[in-house]
Amino acid sequence: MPDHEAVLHYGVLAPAGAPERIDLKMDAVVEAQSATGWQHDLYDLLRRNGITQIAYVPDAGHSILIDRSLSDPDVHSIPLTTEEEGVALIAGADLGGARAVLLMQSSGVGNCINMLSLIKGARFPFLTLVSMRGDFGEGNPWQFPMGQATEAVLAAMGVICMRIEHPADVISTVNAALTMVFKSGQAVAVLLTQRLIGAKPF
Amino acid sequence: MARKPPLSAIASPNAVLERSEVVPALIGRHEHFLIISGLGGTACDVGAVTGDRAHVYSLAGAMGAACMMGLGLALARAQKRVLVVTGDGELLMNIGALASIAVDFRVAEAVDSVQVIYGAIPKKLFKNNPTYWAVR
Repeated sequence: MPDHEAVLHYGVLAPAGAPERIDLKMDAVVEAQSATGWQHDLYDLLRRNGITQIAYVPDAGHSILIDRSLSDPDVHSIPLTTEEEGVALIAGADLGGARAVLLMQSSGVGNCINMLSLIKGARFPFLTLVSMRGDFGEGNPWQFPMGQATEAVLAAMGVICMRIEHPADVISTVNAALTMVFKSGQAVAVLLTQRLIGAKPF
Repeated sequence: MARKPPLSAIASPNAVLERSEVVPALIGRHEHFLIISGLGGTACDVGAVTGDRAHVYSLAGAMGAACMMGLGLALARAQKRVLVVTGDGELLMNIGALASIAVDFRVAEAVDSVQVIYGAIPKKLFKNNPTYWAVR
């Protein structure tokens, strides 16, 4: 089980001054999301719809979904070395008749571009939940190039994007996405925007 | 046409294995597996052994996909043995997949059933570098 009590230390170098040292608890990030419990409802929804493989690159935005999958004996929880692997995994799962989902941050979407040709070319059903960065209130400049390009990149590769801004829309939107993917065989990316999940402090 | 080298020549530093002979020998009874094949020459080698069958999925693109597809398939079909046959370039393009396949204890069951064979173009099958072939 990932240790969410771990305290993060990192130095932020200000251009004109002494380095700052900021102590963070991962819990602070997770708390913002667990307030409404929608992440737990979301996990239950995925399970009710027969998802048995959950692939991810570890990401705070998906920590509750990841933790639930790790403690779920009926689910294969697969950490990846790059998000691209998750796209191929989903295709392999479909060949075997199983349903999989890829959890990633928007920065990981860029790692998937060419592999999405497998999804489009062979028409595999494909569902990904993307926690957005480089979006509303983002404080890390490195996140903007891919964060702002996420929708354009996914659309260019034939993936339908559905943005969620409010907790009340999570279940209905993902429900719709599940139908579009597993009944209609489409490729869908559900974007969990920063208005929904909050901006990371790092 | 490549001449078959005499057995005494196999041990010499310049010996080259013929893929068209080695791949069928390594696969054995292909019906025992669900097979994912990488693209190009590998797909041809595998297709020559199996023909166009329901238990074989050959890629002609998505270079780098083979191993992770094998994992997804193995996790979905726990009772089956999955064989991934791919080329060295295809494997290298997503070499981290080997770590992803091996890392999780719950995947350990699937690891036994995901075997990877990879080879280069015939001239480079053995080049004083045993990592050109890896059979798990």
